Amino acid sequence: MFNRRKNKLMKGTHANLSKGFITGSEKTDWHNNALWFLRAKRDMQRDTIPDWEKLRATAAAIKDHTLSRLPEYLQRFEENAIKNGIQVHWAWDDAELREITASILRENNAKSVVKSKSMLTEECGLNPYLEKEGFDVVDTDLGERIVQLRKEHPSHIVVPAIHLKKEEVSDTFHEKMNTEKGNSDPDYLASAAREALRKDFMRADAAITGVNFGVAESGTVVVCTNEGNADMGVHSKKTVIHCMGMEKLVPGYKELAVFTRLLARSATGQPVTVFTSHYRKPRPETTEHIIIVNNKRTDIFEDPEFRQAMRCIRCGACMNTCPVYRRSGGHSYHHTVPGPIGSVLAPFYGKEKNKDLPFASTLCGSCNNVCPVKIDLAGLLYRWRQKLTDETSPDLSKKIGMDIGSKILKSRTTYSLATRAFRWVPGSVLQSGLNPWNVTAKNGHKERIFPDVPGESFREWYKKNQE
Amino acid sequence: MNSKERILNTLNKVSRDALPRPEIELQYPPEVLVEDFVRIAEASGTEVFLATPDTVADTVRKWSRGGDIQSCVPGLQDEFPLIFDEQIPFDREKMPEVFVAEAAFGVIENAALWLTDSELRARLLAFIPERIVVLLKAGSLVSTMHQAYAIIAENDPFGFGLFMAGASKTADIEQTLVKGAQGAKELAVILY
Repeated sequence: MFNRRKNKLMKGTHANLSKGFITGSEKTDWHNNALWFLRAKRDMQRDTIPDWEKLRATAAAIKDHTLSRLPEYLQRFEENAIKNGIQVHWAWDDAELREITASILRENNAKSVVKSKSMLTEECGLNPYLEKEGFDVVDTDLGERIVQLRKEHPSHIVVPAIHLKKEEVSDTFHEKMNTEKGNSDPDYLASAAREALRKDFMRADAAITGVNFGVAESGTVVVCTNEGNADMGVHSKKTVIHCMGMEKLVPGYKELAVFTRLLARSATGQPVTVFTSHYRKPRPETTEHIIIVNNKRTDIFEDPEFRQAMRCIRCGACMNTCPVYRRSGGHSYHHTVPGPIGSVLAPFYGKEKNKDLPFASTLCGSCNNVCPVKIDLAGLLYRWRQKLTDETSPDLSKKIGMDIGSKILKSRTTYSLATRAFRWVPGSVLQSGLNPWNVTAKNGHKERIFPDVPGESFREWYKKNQE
Repeated sequence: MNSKERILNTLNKVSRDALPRPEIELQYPPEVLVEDFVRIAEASGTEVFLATPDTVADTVRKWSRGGDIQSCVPGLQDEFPLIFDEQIPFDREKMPEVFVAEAAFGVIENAALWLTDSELRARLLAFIPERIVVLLKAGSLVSTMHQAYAIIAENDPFGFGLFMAGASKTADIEQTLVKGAQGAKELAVILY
């Protein structure tokens, strides 16, 4: 199961994987607008804060400070969490996170788990592993539950099912939860999911959550949700596990204030998430665990140029604003985290297999302008392009194209000959299905067609008209 | 070498300058305005009622529309006793339809209400009831999260602390807002 999913993820490049998505222009436009709606809401929230830019700069400075003393803060966080009665584990990589989680569940005789949203566990392939080991895992965030039932991956880190229309959700629920066929009223569907998930909450033996922030000075774990699903599990189960990427630390509550002001405003344009839960001490008779996860973060940390990517608080603002993400959809990025920040992180998880992702961008810089922690996303993508061109195998079609292009452009005579020869190719061929760059929609509408080729070059035209 | 040592050693080997802890100097609105709290709470779908200490119980009763009310607020728990049992949290007989708590304080910029173990009695009570009423003294409002966390840092450490800023909601199906995703379907705040 795990391998099959992984293979599916690796198949193809962003350009190939986005083909299907951008061919149905109605859905592309709809997706584009849905994401832009979030961006517009974010702007409205920004306008309510007079010193928003200073808030962003402060957040970036806090993260840089925390990263500059990361080992100390990690130890401090651990000490305080242990004092509070929480058990702390360290995982070097994805495999260790999976093993620690499974062993905690086994030790506590837990067979079934309710899980709230965590891109970290997604990155580490936790669900497929636990399922393979015989555990029953239910994702409880509605969007994640939808993609889980469809055996898909989240296409966005904050709104995982943003690529789906309500009719598709309705079909999935009808098939898996026996809801009314054809009823795609969001109220009806959400309420059906609520009923079903309540049963899962009652049945489960353990709860797993992600972590938005870890507060070093108090050993507090902070989880932000709108649904309250993390808390439904954490407060009703005797075994609780929080999985935390090691870049999630902030020094103290003073700093946490800055991030709780920024996170939801940047993510969905809400003034704050509905629930900002601070877990410090377990309930009586409950065992609570924190797993601090590395999984390549030390590699990012070791690279002074890319270290700033560890400031990321996973708000998704860079995706919502990205013209390429909005029009190509999250699944065309064959990495857990899509969009600009995903493309910056992905090469750390495999340069060769992710070498196309930094090119899936126009470098317009819109992401830089919305990032709440001021990561230079466009700059880092540009850097990756240079590094990856040197450090990975060349894409043959791209290499041949570039070589031919450079030969033609180097000499005026070759250029003039080549363009003259090109004008001999009949338009009927260039505009037919033989040209792979033409796109025809499923409904037969021509989406992109090679333009008419002029009979003469500009130079020829100019010469004639000058005389 | 275990993973903790391996992680810390790897990080420690990286040469870097320790940066100073930044000062947080941001603007706070000079005045605390109740109207702003009401406006922002209502925009998030929270119903807000203005009451006096004498009319709180009446306001709760009216809003509950005959539903079973449970409370852990000292002035209300005699009238609306708490029978919820954390050991059997999903027992429908003991689950309140309407739960009333009092927030320690509220934040104007996002209409968030601070509740901890001492305000909630059982943590799940902030999530499992159908509807929730939170009482809030108008005098306990602060303007931003900066002041909010300053209060939190000064007070005795909590076991569980929660900022609640509305009823449970989702927009995961085609960006359509649905209230009552997993937790309470409605939230009312009574300012007094």
